[in-house]
Amino acid sequence: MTPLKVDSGDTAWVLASAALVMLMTPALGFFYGGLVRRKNVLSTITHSFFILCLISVQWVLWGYSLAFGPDKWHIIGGLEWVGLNNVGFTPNADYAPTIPHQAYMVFQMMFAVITPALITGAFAERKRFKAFVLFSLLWATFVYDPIAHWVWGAGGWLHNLGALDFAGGTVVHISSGVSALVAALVLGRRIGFGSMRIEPHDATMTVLGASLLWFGWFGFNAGSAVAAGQLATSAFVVTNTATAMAALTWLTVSWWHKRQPSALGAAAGAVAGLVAITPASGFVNVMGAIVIGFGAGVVCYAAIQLRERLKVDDALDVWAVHGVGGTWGALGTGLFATVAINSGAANGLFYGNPKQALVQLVAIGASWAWAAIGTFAILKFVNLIVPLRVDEEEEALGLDLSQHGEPAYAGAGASLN
Amino acid sequence: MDPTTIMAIVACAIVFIGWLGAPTKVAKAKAVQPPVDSEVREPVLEAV
Repeated sequence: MTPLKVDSGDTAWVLASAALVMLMTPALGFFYGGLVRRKNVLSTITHSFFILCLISVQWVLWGYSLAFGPDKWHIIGGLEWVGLNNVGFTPNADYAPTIPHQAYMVFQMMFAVITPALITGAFAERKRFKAFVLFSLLWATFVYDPIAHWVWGAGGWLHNLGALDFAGGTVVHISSGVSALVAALVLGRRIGFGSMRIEPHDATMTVLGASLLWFGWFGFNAGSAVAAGQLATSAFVVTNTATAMAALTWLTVSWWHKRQPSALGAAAGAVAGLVAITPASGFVNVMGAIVIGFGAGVVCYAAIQLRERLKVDDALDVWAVHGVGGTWGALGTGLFATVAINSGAANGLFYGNPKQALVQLVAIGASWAWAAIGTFAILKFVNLIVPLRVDEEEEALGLDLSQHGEPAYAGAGASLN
Repeated sequence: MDPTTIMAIVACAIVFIGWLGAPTKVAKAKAVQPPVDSEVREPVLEAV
């Protein structure tokens, strides 16, 4: 057998994409940070920054091995690659045959980093920092790593079933979005939720965060081609198209509903579009991207209305945007995928293959179930060791001062807003 | 024309027609003179 040869162009693209995806986690911190009250902005940004550090270490120690290591019973990777043992610079034929194995590993690391960071939006403004640390480590190990193996790992059962998820609709967005809903229900509502106005303290920060997320998402989706070529180009184009269409749609829907076009709505709509096109980005053409973007703007906006009606305090609407958006994107992949874009994949329902939509539904259902059960169990376990929530006084003071002992803004002191 | 293209065209039409028909509510404002001892020198606008 001819040894695999490293392609310098592919390697450069994947490493650059890893850097783009890395930027998304602090960008998420700014997106979320603008949406909370000023007394909690630093803690919210710190959640994302801390997870970047925590999962970077978890991933090289055991996370990558569990997610992508040699298959065990089609549900988890083995421990053969713990500490990056056997993960060197020779390409791995199963995952990326033209780049060093460690380049693929570090690209995947950034996905593992941002996924638990997404959940932090659900429990913002009330979670104890130590509980957050424990939860994030356990969640990455027992929820993210197994689902990543099912879908992307060589031998994973959803991979074998033929489920299509180009860049993480199930692995990243359904897992984090559903876990966010469970976390919001288990932690309960913030003090004053429903009885007082809890408003974003800096909309400009949120729009900047969304813009940086959009930028980084080109690495997320186009980088998932793990080669610099036609497929990466297509993923780049459909990512931008769906995002723009979702932002336009959300803006229009909210304009009719609230009678004014909202800047925050446009930012949230763009993120919903990015989420929805993620699983489909390597399989659909630009027309499919427009439909997926349009659908994301409608269903994610509707999900927020439902969440508000049910009085669930998913503080920054992680479930509505990531859980519902990811579900729509995964289903949309089964509807609009075409082998004209990716000859190594499959057609969707509208290209003559209704079976693919059913396979996608199985992947969606399995991801929802594992994320919900796993997150509930982890939260209950963590609560036995350290209380999940800060006490009422700490919550009223704000997490910046109560958890970190430092205000975000000079002179902010102990502001109650 | 394939079904995906038709759906995409319909989606775009809905959005752009939606803009044309969207409400044009604008928050009205009135000038408020600051108190004499205020540090604010100029009249400010207050939403009504």
